[in-house]
Amino acid sequence: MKEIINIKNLQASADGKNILKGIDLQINEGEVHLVMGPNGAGKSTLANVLMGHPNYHVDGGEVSFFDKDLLEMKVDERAKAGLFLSFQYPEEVPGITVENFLKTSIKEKTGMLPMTTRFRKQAHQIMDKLDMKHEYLNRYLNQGFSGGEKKKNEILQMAMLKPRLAILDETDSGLDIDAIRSVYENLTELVSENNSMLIITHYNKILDYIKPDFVHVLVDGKIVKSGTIEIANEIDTKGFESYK
Amino acid sequence: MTLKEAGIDFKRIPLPESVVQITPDKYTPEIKKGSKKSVIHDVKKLIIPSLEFKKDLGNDFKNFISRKAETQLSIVIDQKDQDLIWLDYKEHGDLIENNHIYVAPYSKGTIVMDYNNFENSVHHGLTRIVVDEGAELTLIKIQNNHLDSQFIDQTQTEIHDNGLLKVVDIQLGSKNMIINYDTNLKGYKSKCVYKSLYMAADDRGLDLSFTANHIGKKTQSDILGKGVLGGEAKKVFRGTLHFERGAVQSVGKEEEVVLLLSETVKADSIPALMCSEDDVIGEHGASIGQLDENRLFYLMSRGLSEKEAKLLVISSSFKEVIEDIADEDIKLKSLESVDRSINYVIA
Amino acid sequence: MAKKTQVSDIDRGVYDIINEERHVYRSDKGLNEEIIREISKEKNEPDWMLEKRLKSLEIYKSKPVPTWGADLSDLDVENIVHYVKPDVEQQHSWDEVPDDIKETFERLGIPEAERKSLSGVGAQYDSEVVYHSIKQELVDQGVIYTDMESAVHDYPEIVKKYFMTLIRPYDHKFAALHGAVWSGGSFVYVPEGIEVDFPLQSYFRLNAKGAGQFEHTMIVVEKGAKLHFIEGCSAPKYSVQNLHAGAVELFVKEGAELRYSTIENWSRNMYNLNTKRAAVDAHGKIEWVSGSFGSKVSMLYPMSILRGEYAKSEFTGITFAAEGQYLDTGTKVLHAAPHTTSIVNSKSISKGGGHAFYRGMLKATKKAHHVKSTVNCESLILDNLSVSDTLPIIEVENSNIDIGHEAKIGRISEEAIFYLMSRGIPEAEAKAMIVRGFVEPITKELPLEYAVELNNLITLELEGVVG
Repeated sequence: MKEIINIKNLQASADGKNILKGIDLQINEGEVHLVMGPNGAGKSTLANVLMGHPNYHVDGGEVSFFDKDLLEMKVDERAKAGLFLSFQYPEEVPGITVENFLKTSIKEKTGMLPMTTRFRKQAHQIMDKLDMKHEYLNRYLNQGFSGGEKKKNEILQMAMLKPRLAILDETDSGLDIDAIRSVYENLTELVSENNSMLIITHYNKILDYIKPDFVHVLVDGKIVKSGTIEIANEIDTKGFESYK
Repeated sequence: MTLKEAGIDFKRIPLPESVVQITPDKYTPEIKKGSKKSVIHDVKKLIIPSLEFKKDLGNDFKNFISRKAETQLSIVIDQKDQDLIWLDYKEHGDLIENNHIYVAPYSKGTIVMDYNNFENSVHHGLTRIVVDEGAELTLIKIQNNHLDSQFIDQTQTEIHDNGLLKVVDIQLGSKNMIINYDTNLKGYKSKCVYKSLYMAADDRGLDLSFTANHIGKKTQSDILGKGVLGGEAKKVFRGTLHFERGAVQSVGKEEEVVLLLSETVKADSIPALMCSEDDVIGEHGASIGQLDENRLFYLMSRGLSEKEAKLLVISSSFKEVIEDIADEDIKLKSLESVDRSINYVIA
Repeated sequence: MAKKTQVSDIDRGVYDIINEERHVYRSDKGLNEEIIREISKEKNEPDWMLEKRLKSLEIYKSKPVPTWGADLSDLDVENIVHYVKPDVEQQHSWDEVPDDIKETFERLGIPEAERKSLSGVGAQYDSEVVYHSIKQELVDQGVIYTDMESAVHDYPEIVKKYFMTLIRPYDHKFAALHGAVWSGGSFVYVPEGIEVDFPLQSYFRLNAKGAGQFEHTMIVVEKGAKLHFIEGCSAPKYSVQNLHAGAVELFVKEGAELRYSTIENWSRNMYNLNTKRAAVDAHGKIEWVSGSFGSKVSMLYPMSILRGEYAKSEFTGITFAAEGQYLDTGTKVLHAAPHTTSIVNSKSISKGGGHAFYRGMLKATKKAHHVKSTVNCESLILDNLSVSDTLPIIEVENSNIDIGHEAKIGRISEEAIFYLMSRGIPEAEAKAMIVRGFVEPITKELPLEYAVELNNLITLELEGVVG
């Protein structure tokens, strides 16, 4: 099985504070990895550092993405290479419609601007699955969207862009039960043989919909345990205490 | 004497004879609270601001003050938690003061300048402040002088690294006021917070100017102006935020809320944002209008008379600001003065 | 342009501090009565118009150049004479047109024929064909759309009634100059109740004589009528003579609606001192849509005078100041009647050392009760060489009003850039998208081809092609 991403001893800090203190993680094609951990452990930091957020500084380590040095790549290059991050707090960008944004992203990725009718058909299909009204295509990107709608919008983007590795940062936070179902039910469809997911959460609801191949526990900037789904069940009953 | 007769305004014109002829009282305010030790009366080793200020009232004004001032305070705050200094200005004739305040590194203190003179008089004041590294100064000025008086007051402050200036300025009395606060946020993370409260009725006039000049990196400013005008009162409120090139990651905020109670008021606002640096955030907002009808209706539906309802709405808005004042005595005095003034303005 | 007395009354030192030195003003001995008479004669004007010109000249000579705002010391006043004289050859050769102008034409896809016309070279752009087809429709409805000179001859009663009544020669020096040497411009008269359902564009009336430096536009929309007028275009207008002191007077009568859209993109040597004013009667509405680009110096303050009850004014505008530019723009709204409302949505972008200055005036007089006004200014500074200033003046003389004003200054949010890049959009394109999004409220008010042009122009400006 082909390796998608290999993270070796990744260290990172923000505002002068060390957050990631040496992360090792390998994800292969078709795998679903779950990263759990208490608040402040560094889960979001990991996601953002992989995507290349300017506020974070990489202090050491290496990351190879399809055998290429990910840390050397610019943010948009990482996206074009097949990396996708569904943000915990998606940014509001006034004046740019969701449709316009998506089409531009697709154009960047495929080199061609998608035709409107085809684009809309595809988008509407996905939106129906996510229980999202079609009119959202014409609204300004995330502006005035509720927390749940913003998350659905992230998943819509992911479905349209078809990344090789999708990182989902606390996608379930801020969603009500119905929304969680609409979102997670569709995620499974999106992980095909070749695509993978790294799901970050501190919450177990997701296990009702997705069976991860691997579960990692991130505490205080390091992965303290890796294993299978049993770990997740254990945390459900006992919390993170034993790992601290 | 009216503002016009005094001829003092921001245009740098020479002062008229009538003003030049003033013979001020040799007056020192009573020190109601605080140690006399920190309020020295003669001006020895002075630490004065080094940079120029943007909204200076002009050299004529400065020279006039230095020549004629008969009240000169030089206050030094040099302890980590200095006792409050409460200066009581009452029972005096014309007053010209030239003050200096120095807050030594890492010290913290509060100075209250309480103007409650019941004699009709003219006041000209200039206070220069330096807040040194890591220091914190809270300056509270309450002006409730005789209603025919004139009050002209300029306060210039320079703040160094990690220094903080908090100002609460309450203007309730006098017939005409020119108030000018100008702060240079010179150091890294320097910060200033201005809260201005004012009330006027009859045909009184106010010219209020609050300026924050962001020079150092990561500096912060916050200007809040709240006022109530009735009768034929006139006011100009100038809130100015300057961001000089290099004031990277600075944040400035300015807000003005004005309540107009009569049809014959004149209210001018000039919220200015001048910016030469891209990595900053500057915001300002002004809202001018009447009391919220819905709110009044709600209060009246609970049994309050219209007048009582108005009083409550206005005083609760002002109280929000006064609540922040730590010293209980000052807080109480401010609340009482404000309540009395509201009654007068609403009438 | 702001009335000088008003500004100096209120300001008290703000302007002194920003523009310390008084600017030196070169004399214009060249402009005299004889030249004015020549101009009038060449246009075959009736006496009453000649008299107005002469009176304006008198006032022009007696007024000083404003000492606040932009630095006008480079303004070549002496040469104005040279270009208003009727027998002077206005045209110059294509070779003399600066390269960046030519390149912009190329990038914006301006057709060959138009390029020469826009740069004041050669023959008038022959838009007659397009123009004529529109013309018939207008004639059928009783709408008059002609050039200002013809209007003076053919519709003297209307012109006499309105000419220079909103922008009076006494107002400021350049208004007086305009009154003396005006030439060209559009005249539109929409009779009662007529709704013109397609926008009229001044573009079709570009005259050969210069690029319209002193054009006078007058529009009268009678009771209950409706019109959308578009002035200018995104293509840069070039002229050797560098002063543009045009005037636009708009009269919106009871219950009428007028939308006045402008995209100005003067070449980088120009001083753009245009004065635009609209008077709105009861229940009338004026909408300004404005895009200010180009020029070396601009001083532009479209003004709405709401003089009838329930009159409304809406302003949506964008100002883009790039390297070497000083764009002093803003809006003025005068609420002089009860129940009037106004909305101002002004955005500005400063880049590469450009200086954008928003100067706004909002005034409610004693008679104006039940006034509601919202002003929203947002400024984007793209680098730390540029400057953006906002100086709104709010004057209220009646308590029964509800006025809200908000302004923000900052840079493009890094978070937003990161978000777009995380979807594969390269940095430069991400910034351009965000800037276009920022400008969107203006572009969506324009007809499609203008919106497209505007977006292209912004892309060009961001790349730094122009200037």
